[in-house]
Amino acid sequence: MARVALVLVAAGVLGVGAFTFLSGRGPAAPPTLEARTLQVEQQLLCPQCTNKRLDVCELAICQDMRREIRTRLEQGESEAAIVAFFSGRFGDRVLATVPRSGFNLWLWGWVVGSVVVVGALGARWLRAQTRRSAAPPLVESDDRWLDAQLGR
Amino acid sequence: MNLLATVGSASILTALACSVFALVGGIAAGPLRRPDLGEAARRALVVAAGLVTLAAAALLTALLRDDFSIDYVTRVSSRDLETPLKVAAFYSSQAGSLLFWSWITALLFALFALHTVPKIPWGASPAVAASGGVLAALLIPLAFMASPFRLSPFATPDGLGLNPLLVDRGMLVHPPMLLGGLASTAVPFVLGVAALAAGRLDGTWLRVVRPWALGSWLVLSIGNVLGGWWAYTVLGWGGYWGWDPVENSAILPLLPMTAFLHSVMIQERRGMLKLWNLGLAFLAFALAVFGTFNVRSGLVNSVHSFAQSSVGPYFLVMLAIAVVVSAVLLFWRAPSLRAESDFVSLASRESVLVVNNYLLITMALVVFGGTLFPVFSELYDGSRITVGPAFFNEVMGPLLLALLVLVAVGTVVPWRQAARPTLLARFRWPVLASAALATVLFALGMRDASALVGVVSAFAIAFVTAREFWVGARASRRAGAAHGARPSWLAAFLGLLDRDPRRYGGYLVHVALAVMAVAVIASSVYQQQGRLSLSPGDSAEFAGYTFRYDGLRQRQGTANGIDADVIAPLFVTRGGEAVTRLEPGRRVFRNFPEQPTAVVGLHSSLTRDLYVFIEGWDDDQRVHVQVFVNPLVVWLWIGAAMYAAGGLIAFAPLRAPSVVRREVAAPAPSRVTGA
Repeated sequence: MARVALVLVAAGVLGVGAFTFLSGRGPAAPPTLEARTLQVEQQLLCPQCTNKRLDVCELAICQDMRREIRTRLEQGESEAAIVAFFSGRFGDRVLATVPRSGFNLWLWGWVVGSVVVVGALGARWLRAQTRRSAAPPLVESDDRWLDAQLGR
Repeated sequence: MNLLATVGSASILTALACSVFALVGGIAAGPLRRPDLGEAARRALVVAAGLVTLAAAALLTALLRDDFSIDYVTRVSSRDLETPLKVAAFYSSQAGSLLFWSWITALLFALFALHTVPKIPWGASPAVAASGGVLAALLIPLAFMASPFRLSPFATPDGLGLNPLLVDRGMLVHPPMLLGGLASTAVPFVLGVAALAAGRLDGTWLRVVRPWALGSWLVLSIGNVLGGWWAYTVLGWGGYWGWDPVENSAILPLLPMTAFLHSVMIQERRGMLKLWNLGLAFLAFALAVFGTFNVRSGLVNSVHSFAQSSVGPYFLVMLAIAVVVSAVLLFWRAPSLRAESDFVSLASRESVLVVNNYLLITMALVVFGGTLFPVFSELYDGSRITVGPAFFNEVMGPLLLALLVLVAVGTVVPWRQAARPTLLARFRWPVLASAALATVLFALGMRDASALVGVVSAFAIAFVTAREFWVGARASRRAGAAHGARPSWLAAFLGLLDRDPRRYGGYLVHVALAVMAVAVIASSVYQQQGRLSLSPGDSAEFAGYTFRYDGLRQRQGTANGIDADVIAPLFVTRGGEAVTRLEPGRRVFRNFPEQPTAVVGLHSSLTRDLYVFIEGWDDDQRVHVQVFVNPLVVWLWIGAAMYAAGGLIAFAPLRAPSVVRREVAAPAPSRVTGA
């Protein structure tokens, strides 16, 4: 019983902590223009830096791109269209997410292949190792029985 | 003639000669039946370490004395650089970092030759030969391709200065730890080579290799965490891990090394996975060399990488040689590497450790493929795709979550075999407690599935580990009471660490991993990001904080090549109460005006970090500020400290066999043999 109480208290303390943490976030606000701009920026990378998202890059070209995104959003263009515009202008290297098409499918194939092939090899090995031990070696009584059979 | 350059170059050349002698002497000692030759080869390794130390001292002296007649000093240092940063300039560029790597490797090999080699008479000669080969391979580019002792073509009164991104005291710890960790993978490699060459494939080499592998793993881990801390506090993008190609190169050897430290337990107990364990030790070293090639070849673009040079292809050749030598030795000895026993049951800790290895190696493959894919993409159609955090978070997230679950399960499942009632008894409370927590969190609004699974798994790890400690400490107290001296709970707990440091140190590492996992989940899933544009005198609110801005300030630089810091002080309040004063800004360097760096404004607390940097400003001093609220980040660093503490405890030698608690297992069938 004491254990149950302890577990419940621990879960309760963690739950209250999580509640405090989550409640601090407040209700989700409707997406403002600034928030939408940020969402688009997060889908793009700086064309000059390496692996640096557009929203956190301070280069002049990125500031220009951010202004362009805001302008296009104000004009009513969709987020997808804006991302496609920059992809067309700079190439797929400015996309934060690797497109799942064309040659890029090999990347996803590599991931799936790694998971499946290594997993299959591991599972096969594990089963073989376990199955091998499933056939027990003869014990003394077996030897006696075998001798008796052979002696007939 | 420059004395320091001459001493440095001569030392490297002589050290190279000593390394080659160690290689040749180590190989020849056995067939020629000349133990004196083997002993001379061993001593040559120590002499080589002394010579590389001399070369390192020469370069360090040149840096501290502002000897700009040496080209490397001119390119990485300047007169106004503070002394600690002059030390950091040592390994801040291609040639210096190679010398640093070689120096650490040489010192490790000297320690190995003095401390370990005498304990392995069965494999002394091949171990010395392999060490000599690796050290020679590292010294060749220093001697002939990328010497840090080349003289400047013309006299200069001052140097260019340190790369702006490296002007940070963190450079004193992050690169040395990382380079040291990468260099240290060489020792398990040479021990594996020695074991295979000598045919000593029993548990002997495991006992010898384990401390070296553990040390390498620990230093590599700390180096990677310090890299994250440096990125967080210096680079100014709000995060600590960007899956940059060079970050990936640094974490790659850590994955097989972690797998190795787990799978050797199976070999120790059951005489299985011999081939696999050797393969993991070789893979860790090969990936460390791959990382060197990656960073120095210009193959991938990265904020960390050095300029493209002939050194890159050289390391590709070195990698190929290491792989071929490993493969040939493994193939040669494969018949001797058969398992001595079998698994009794799939419901055993052995099986969990095998799955742990599967996950870690799959992660290594995924990171390896993702890192190199841009190269193949460019080869295919000429356009280089960027494989960044979005991809890695998507594919690595589930694997890391599975690993967390496995850590909890592995702590619960006993070795060899477990009867169903045993398993039920062991799993009942952790599962119930985890389910209760999951329900509470879900009811409170946690809807992100990965966050939910991650936090609950982390809790499960903490729960089962705490139970292990509690059961062990309780047994110690009972045992003490039987002898009339019942220890306190604290004494019993510390006694566990003392009695079986490997096991309980490992448990502490697991708990640290859980703490770090919660921090990573909170700071990534629940990160809040906003942008504020403020004119002098403006205030703005974000995430419950109020930011007041009064205008730009400028601080003239006085050292380290800094021309000026342009600061946008922000007074932060929350609910009317002052929280902090942040000073984000931009730092401009005299010799690198086109490379201003971020000055991050950071306020840390146990619950969240307030992280601010400025994107830029207008002529009227209107600033554009990025604000991040990163929950629980400080727990990432606290968890890392726990991780290091656990690793250090595990490093301690066993004082006595663990008698505190025996695994509850089903009776072992008579057919089982081995450990």
